[in-house]
Amino acid sequence: MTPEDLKSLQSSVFRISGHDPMWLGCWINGYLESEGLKPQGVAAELGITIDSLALFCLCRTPRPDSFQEDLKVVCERTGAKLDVAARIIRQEQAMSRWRDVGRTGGAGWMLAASDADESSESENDEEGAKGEDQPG
Amino acid sequence: MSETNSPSDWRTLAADLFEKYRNEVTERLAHRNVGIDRDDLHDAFVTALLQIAANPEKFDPEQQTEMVAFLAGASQLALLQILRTNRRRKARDEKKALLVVRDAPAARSSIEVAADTELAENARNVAQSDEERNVLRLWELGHSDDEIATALKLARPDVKLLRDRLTQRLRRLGDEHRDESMS
Repeated sequence: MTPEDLKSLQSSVFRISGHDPMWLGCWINGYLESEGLKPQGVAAELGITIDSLALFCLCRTPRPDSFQEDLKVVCERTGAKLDVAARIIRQEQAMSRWRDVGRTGGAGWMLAASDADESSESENDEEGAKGEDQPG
Repeated sequence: MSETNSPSDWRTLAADLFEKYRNEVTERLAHRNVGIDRDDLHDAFVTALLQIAANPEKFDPEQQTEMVAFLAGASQLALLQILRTNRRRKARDEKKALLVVRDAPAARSSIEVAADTELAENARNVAQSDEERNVLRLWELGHSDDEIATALKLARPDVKLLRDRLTQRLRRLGDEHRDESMS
């Protein structure tokens, strides 16, 4: 495989995995876009080569309930820095949720706020009040 | 699931298959589809790879099929789909170009013209860097990826990546514009 072929193949990986949140490529693609970076820049941030970044993009997005465990397997396989990878994915997932809320309108936030457990809020208030009463 | 020495973890299966079979499968594809754009061949391979890795149970080792042949077959199917989509897009673009020529500007209401101007203005803003702006400008003028790559001294895959990014943003903008018009 010539270097041009390899570059074209890597481009295909970035492009196609970038469409589906099932794959890590989706979050990397979002990160490239939001930070105005090139794949080489993200690869350097993750401490890997561009070839390993393509492999990273082809790995599954970690499940929310076992995020660290899943990501650890991926990072061990590709050599990516676990803390950097976690930060990038978390950031892009938060951005994606934010965009979704923006699309559906601000009412979602209002509903979410009104759905909050009032008892826990009042408990917090009480704790805060207790804290303030304590001397020191 | 395959003839790999150690079983792949489902989380890294696509990466494992990619690394192991990319040379052989893309060579088979190129050999079987002479004259087809290299980027389309690679898109087909990656599409098939992700489909298989998302549903690994579709590969049945009982069928005595080698993974490389299975991947090559799936890639060939994906390639046909890509070529069909490309053909449809080209036909649609040609039809749209004919309609634009036939449409007399006077026949359009000032509201339509204003809405289109606003959309076009917003569309120009989707380019966030000089590189993207240059690609968008040449793309608007109807230049091909190769021509843009040569003019801007960029690699062709980079041009394709930038164009894809711009397309996604334009699509998002179009959706928002449609939502606004409907509300």
